Amino acid sequence: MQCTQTQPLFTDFADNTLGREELHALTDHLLGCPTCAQEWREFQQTLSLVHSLEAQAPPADLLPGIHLKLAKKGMLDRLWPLAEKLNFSLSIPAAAAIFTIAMLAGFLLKTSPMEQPGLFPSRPARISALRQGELLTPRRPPIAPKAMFAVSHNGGQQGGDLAPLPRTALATHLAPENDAPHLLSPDMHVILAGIDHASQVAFFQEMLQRNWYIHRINSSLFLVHLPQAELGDFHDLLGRHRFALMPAAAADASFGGGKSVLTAAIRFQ
Amino acid sequence: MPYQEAPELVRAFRQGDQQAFNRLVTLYQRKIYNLALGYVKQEDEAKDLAQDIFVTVFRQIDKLKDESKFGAWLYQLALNHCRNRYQKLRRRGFFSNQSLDDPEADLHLSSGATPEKDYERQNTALLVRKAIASLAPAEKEVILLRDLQELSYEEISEILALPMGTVKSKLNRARLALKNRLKHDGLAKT
Repeated sequence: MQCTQTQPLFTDFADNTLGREELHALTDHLLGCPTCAQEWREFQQTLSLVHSLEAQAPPADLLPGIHLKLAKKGMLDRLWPLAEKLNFSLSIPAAAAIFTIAMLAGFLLKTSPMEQPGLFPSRPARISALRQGELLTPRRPPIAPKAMFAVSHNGGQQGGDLAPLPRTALATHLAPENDAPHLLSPDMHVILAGIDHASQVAFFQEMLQRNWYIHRINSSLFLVHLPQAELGDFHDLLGRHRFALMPAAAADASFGGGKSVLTAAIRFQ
Repeated sequence: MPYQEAPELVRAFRQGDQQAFNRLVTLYQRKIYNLALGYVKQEDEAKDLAQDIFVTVFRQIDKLKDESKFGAWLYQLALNHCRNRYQKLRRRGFFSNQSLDDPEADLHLSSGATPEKDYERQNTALLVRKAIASLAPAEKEVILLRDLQELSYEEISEILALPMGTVKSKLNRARLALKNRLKHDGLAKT
């Protein structure tokens, strides 16, 4: 065996996968060639050094970070297939015109005193859409002048901007079930105050573990769709933080009992 | 072997079980994080990269045809992410800003026999990692998969879509190149 033939066999030699003839030829050569023997020792030492490297433990917040990224991307994920399905192309002026018309129509609908129930999906359609993961445009419900807020706080550390108000069983502005336009509004509004990043991550993780749908509107506003039957769980989660909940009736686990799915708008302060 | 439960977890995840996804992440996070670290050399960047890989797993799990091939599919996906991130960071000069030449970078004292021994061991590990990082991408990849991730030749062959003989010869060349680097650094000598 020539010196040039030895090195290509080193990995097989180290793995003990050489055939008998090659093995004998190589070992005979290494016994008689100090240069190749030195190369082989250095090769072995290299393997030893590489195999002694220890794997590093992954950071503890790797999984919560994944959940957070998924929550952030959730909205885009649901919109993108819709855009792909449309599969059309528009010139820039045409797109601008459509955008303007859509904005104008939205403004007129929003400001119209006579809302058009027929333009909005019925409640079963909405729940069905939610189950299929579609994103429904949220509309803020009008807050009645006499609306009450259910407020809780953690350990008595009440912030100045969250005045403690008594809970009440009355929902003064709750939309009736047959009021179709209001079906597009969140059923509950939640303000979470003084929550740090880690607690926010844990909060989302808990919600994702319950398979509730989360849509990110912006960095501080999220929509959460949850089964009405799990409203008690939602209260438990909120109870770990300082929060304000509206309407007050939403503090009751039977709130929205006529619905399968409830929508909560959560704002972080 | 904990990885044997992966196909079952993939099935459960596809049926909507969020916990199954969490379990898959827990099962593979150490390997994927270290693979990412092998490319980007910086812990925060490696964490972000590993998270992106698992986010892609979440979103593209329906593209996996055979659940029993999850491991190979995950590695293919991870390698694509790692290659792309590496190129992106390199274009931005990320690696030239890193203090790989600083032997004290990323050294942490642990409960070794003595601080001196600890320092020496970690310094050696750092130099070996630096030598691996300096290899050509294809060489580095095969070293990471075989010698650090401890995958079998069959698995690497499947992941890289190369015949097993080619994998072995590429690995041998990569190891010889690494030996020469370490020899140059004064580490591989007898």
